[in-house]
Amino acid sequence: MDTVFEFFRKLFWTESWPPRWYCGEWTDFHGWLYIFSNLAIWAAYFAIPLVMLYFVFKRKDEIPFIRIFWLFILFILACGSTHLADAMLFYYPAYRLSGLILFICALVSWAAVIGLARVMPEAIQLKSPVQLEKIINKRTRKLKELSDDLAHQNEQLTSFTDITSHNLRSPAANLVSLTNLYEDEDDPEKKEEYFQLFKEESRNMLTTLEDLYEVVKVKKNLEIKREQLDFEQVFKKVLGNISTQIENSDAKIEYDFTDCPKINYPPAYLESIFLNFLTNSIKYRSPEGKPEIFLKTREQKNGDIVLTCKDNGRGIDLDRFGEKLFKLHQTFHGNQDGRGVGLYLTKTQVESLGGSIFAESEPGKGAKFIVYFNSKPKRV
Amino acid sequence: MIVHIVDDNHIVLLVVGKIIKKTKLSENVYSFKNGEEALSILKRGIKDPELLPDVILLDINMPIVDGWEFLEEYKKLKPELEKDIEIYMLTSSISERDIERAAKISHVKGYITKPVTKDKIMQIKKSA
Repeated sequence: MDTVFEFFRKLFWTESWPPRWYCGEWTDFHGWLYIFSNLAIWAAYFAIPLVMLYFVFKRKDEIPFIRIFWLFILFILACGSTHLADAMLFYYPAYRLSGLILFICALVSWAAVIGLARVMPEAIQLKSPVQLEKIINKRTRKLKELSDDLAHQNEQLTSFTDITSHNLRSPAANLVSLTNLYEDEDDPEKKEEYFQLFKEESRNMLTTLEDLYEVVKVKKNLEIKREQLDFEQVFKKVLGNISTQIENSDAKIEYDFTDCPKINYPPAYLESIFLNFLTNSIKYRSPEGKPEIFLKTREQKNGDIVLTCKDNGRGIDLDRFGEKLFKLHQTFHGNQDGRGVGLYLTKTQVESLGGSIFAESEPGKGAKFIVYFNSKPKRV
Repeated sequence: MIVHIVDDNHIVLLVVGKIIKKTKLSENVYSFKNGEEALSILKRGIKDPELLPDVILLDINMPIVDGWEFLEEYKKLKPELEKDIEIYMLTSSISERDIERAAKISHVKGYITKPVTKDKIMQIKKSA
């Protein structure tokens, strides 16, 4: 204990040692190389904390591991001090003071080591700006997808409001008008005519309600059960259901499901897709010649299953009607049978399961419908 | 006065035709099943102005050429037409979007929602 006390008492004493110039044999060059290098290191080690301080004060936002930052500043200052002391010994041999400075530097250095080791796990987790940018981009993409999805749903909702506003109001308004006419009319024959129209329109209204119910069912039924289905088997069942229609139109129907014979899909939806394609192709057949319909499935490299249905019918002017083709109650040929439900329903079903549907056609040159069952490739 | 009704629904054509005759708005009522048919008579009216109507009652939702598309085409035809035709939308749509859209088109004079009644047709008669 006494020696420690004496150490501090004689901290600045220099009597016990000669200045380093006189200790051993120094050439001028060697000595000054030693002194100059130490002073240069000391100056640099004091300049570094100044630069770091400038950084801390300029960058007002949160700097990660700010305490390690301060510890490093101390560490560098302590290291610098040892080099100053080393140079000083050439003229002022206070070896006790030098020893104390070295000891302080040792303490601060180890504090830095421990501090670094402790923040290391967190520091490893720290994201670089490039990584952060990647994360931000990824999240932005996800948000964009989500907002597109919402926009799509919103669009569907708006179109649904329009549908109820128009398609249900329209027959209802007719019923009101017809009752008014009926009441104002005295001629029994006319009265009977209005009554017949009233009956017809109320049936129309019921059909419209049933159509809308089908659509709502699909929109609601997002978790409909998929089953392993055989394209040919389902197709033949649909052919059986509309055999009279096919015979009457003398349609020639061919298919090739060999590339991709099976699909995991809700049976009701696949049937409805086939049914709509077939009945549309027959309904809008060319006035010249028999309807010819060809269906094919294939599997894409990405695993998506694609169904195409091509016919030789009247075709559709997509430049004029493309936007409306898949909308409800839009008909394009002035055809009385067309209620404008089929393609809307098909599109709703396909899209509700993450797929998409497109049409390719020119007036008079037939139509081709393409269903991507599991993806939404962008098409022009 | 000549009135053109453009609507794809035959009940509307019948009912509106009757009401127009009853209110004595006009004795010359012609029906068109969609915008395309109505446009073709207007085009003929360029050379033969006697064919042109005084009033057009125009539905919105129709096959082939709908009400909006009809109005687009009408805008192009208008400078060549001798008559000043009054166009009224006649629709079951009560959607704000449709009402506002019609209000923005200068040559649309009014917006009539179905069901059509005598009162609504009388309004046309008064402003005619």
